Amino acid sequence: MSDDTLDIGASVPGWLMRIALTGVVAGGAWMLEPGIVWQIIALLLVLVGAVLPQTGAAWFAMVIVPFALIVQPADLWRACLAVFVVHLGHVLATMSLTMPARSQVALQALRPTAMRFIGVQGIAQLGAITAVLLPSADATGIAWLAPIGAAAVVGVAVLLLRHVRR
Amino acid sequence: MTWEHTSSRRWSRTPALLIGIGASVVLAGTGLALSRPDVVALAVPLAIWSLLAVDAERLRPAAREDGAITVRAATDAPAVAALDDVITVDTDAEVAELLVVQSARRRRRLLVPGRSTIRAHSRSRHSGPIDALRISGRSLGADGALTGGELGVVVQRRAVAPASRDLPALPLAPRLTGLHGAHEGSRAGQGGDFRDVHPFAPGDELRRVDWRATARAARRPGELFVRRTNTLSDASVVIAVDAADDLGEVVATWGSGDLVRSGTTSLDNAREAARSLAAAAVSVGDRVAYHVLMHGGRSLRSGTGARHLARVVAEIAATGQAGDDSRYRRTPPVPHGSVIAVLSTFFDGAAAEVALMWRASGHRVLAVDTLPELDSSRLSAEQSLALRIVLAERDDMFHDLASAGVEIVRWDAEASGVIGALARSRTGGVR
Repeated sequence: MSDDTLDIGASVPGWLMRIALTGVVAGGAWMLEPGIVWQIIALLLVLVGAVLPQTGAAWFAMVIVPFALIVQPADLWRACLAVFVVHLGHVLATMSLTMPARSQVALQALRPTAMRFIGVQGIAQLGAITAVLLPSADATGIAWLAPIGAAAVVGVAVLLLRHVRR
Repeated sequence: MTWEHTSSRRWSRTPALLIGIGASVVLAGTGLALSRPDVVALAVPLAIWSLLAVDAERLRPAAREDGAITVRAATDAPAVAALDDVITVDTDAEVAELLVVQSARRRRRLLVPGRSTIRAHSRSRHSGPIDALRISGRSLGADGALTGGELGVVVQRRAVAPASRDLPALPLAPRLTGLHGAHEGSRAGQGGDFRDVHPFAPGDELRRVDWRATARAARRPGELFVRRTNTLSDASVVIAVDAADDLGEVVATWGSGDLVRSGTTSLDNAREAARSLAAAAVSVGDRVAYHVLMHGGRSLRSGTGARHLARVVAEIAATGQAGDDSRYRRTPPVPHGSVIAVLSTFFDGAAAEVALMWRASGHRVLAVDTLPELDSSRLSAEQSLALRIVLAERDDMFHDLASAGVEIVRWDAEASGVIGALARSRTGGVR
């Protein structure tokens, strides 16, 4: 038995967040198939982001995900996978930024993160399914959605920026 | 713990929040521009996540949450070697990031729930005062996108009691005092062995009349003889610890303050010797006083009994290295005719001067050398030479002490036997 022990219950090392970040982004880039060059770039960037989170390279690596969607036709499972990768990658990159690799993270401390992730993913996946399926039903009849969507984007942006400025 | 619903911002944002907001707006705009609803869908989780994060900002912890971390000992029993503590974190933040330093040697970062209890166990390699735990921390919110204020710094300082060694007997004081104790006094009294047969005098108890001696030796009517016994007296033991140095077995660590690789230190030996001497003295009813010879050092006046011994042990456990490295040593008042044990490494001569002064005053003085067995590996040639010189000077000092009648005991495995032999010799009090 070591001379010094701390009992915080079930826990994982902090570097596991960075391994998970690398796995999620690299795995997403591999499955979404944007092209081998982009896959290698994504892998290198996420590795840099995992080792040096303060560089923000992990977020640059995640740019590959929307790029992979754009270069290929819309597809349901790809959209769902991309939503999952972008969200989980962002959460893990955020945690890597503040949680040191040599720390010990109690699983109980990750519970709010997991609950929030499940809730947000539920809504986001529904949104992704709706977004992919609705246009294919009758693309010509929903052209009015474009200005509404644009207005919604502007509304959300204003709402977020107002909160941030407070 | 205070949480405020005010307009002032207390959380600090990491770039992740702005990245989330910016990415969601850019993705949605790009998707709309390219008529790609699946790309717009990518913005949804980031936008919701950002909204939740900025909403979490409304619950603001105070800039500084003093009192959010508390530490208490797991048991009320005095610490011997194992230190068990319970750390309680009480903050409304989702996560608390703690930096915990155990026994001033192991640093660990923990991420625990805002309300949690942590059990800390540490095994101290040294006796004496120690920072068992030093904890600082901050609160985190929204998956770490928000960082809160400091949770304060909490230090759990514990005093580790030294081990005690059984000593068969202690050298006797040259002058015994009192009417209690286990030592045979030189005066007539009660409790001791047979002293003599003496003519009855006013004050003698009738039950002490020796009728046979009276019948044999009385020369006139009414003359009586009584049997007299020696009184039992207690001795006075003074323990004086020189806390100027704390030198470990490994000479290469001297002056570095590295107690992890130092091995047993001189103060470890001093505390063990002090406790052993105090326990041996109290066990035979002697009075014990305890002094730390440094400027401002603690003093405990003479006393005896189990409660006094507990006080002495507590003082011994709280005795650490004095920050003052001056050559000055105070000379506390000691009872007349005491046995004084001066516990020191005897490196700088100050403790030896005090011992010589007490010896000259008629006390029986034991110079207890607390320097551990030295490991002089990893020393350069110059350092080895310097060590030899200071050890040679120390030997000269011991020679001077022995010449003056100070008895020298090295605190090692044979210390018990040496002290027992000194106790039997009864020569220490003779000048």
